[in-house]
Amino acid sequence: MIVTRALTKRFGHTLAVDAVDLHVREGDRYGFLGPNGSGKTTLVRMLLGLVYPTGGSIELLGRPVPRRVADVLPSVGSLVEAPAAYPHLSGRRNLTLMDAAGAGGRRDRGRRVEDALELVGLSGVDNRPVKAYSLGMRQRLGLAAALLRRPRLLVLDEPTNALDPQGIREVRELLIRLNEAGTTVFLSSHLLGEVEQLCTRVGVVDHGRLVLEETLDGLRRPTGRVLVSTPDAAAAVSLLDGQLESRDGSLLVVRHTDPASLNTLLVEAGLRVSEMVVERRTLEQVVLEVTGSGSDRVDAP
Amino acid sequence: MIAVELRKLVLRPRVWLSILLLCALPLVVAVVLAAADFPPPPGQGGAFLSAVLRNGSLYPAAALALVLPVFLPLAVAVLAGDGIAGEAATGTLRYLLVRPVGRTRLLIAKLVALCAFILLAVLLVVITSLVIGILLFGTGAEAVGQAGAVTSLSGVTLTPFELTLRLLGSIAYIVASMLGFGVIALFLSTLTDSGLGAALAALAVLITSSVLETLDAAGPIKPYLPTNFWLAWIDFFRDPIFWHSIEKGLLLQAGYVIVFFGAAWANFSTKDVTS
Repeated sequence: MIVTRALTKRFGHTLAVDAVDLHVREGDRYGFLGPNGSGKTTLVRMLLGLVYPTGGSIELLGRPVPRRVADVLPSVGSLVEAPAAYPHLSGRRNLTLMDAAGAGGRRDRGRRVEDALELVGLSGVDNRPVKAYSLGMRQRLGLAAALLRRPRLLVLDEPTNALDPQGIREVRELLIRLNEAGTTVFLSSHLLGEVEQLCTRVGVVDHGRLVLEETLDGLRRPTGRVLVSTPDAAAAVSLLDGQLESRDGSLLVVRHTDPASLNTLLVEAGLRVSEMVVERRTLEQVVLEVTGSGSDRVDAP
Repeated sequence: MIAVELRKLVLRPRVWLSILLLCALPLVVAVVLAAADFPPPPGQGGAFLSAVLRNGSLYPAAALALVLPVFLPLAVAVLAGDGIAGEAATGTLRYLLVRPVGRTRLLIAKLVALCAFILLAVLLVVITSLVIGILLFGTGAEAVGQAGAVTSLSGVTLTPFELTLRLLGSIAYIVASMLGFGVIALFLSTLTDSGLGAALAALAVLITSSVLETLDAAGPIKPYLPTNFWLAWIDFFRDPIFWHSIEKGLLLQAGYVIVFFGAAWANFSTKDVTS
């Protein structure tokens, strides 16, 4: 769906995006992560033909961008940074204008607008102008605009910004539902928990470079350690000599690949086990490992 | 996209407010004149003002002369300056472009909407001032001996039909003049994300041009100043019509439209949209 090769963007002397090879496959729920100022938004804008690359190439749904971007954009829904609408018009009127600006006949316009409002939970919205909307409503309206005409690819930049926990869950469920119906989702975010719950693959950028691209399951595979909590910690330490990595009171970190056999070993030795967990790295650990601090942190030299 | 831009134009309260204000200025002047009931001496106030007291059907021409130097260009600068920059500031520009609306198509739609606005504004000024003029000053039947007839600037009597034709010619000429100026504002609008900045810059161009026009030293460049032939529409009310300045003015405005629309297109179609 999205393939970039050595994609580069330079603003004057600043290298915003540096030789990025991105690969988003059809059916992915792709989480695009990185600290603030790492080049996420610039890359998203290049994918959509808003910003022109200074080097490398982009293929979006099989077409070169920006040269043939007009061919593919009708099948792409997007939310780039904050949602935007004409503040003096109602949400419904905004969607109607946006729909009329694109291709697509007038006949089904009303239905498309109502469908999109329904999807994001705004179907009962009245004729108040958008300037009277709350941030969450604007965010939903922006999502509705992205969902007009049922795109094959959704490119979303921080889609759950400004939503409350309930709204975040609704949007997550909506995106999963759309994805299961065949829509590829490309989501840029710095909310790691959000990406962890939603995405199947992640790419991480830092200082304009893609430093990691892998499946979420791959990132979170077991580390080969098991966390054991036991009231008989002292006995367990002597039993597991050599496999023990560390001990903190009753909590032991054991190097072991098979928790079932470890459990059997402990229980057969007459030790009580109150808790046993296979250690997995969290997305946060992975991301913090491969990225530096964001560009919004400015330390004195 | 043209239909979308036109709908956005009529849905915008600001557009109607500015046209309302444009129509209000001639109303205020007419009321003051009618209350005083003596004509300003020729050369004082705007063109035609001394003549309208005798015949209200010439008041549209006087009204156009009143709004043309400052108010009409002001409204045009605000609207055209907002064209691209305003969309950028509200963030809707990026959503239009990914809809997708081609950049050239968007610019053309903005130009058409600008034409529509100018035409609408000028027509409404003419219609309201015609009503005001006839109500306050009458049709001048007693002065010329024929209802609706007026005396041209050259002293020859014009029939209502001739007057209408000449008024339509003036409207077309003024729309062309404003369009030439509006395209400059539209070009400036592609340079910035601030509609206000673009409008102010366009007004700075207007003021510079007006100042240079009054300088004899600026003689060689005078024929190329955007405002130079703005008042040539008055020649429609001479008998016979003086076509010389009108033709030159139209040619000049066409040049401005081509050059600045080209510049706007060149800049906008190659620009990184980061708003």
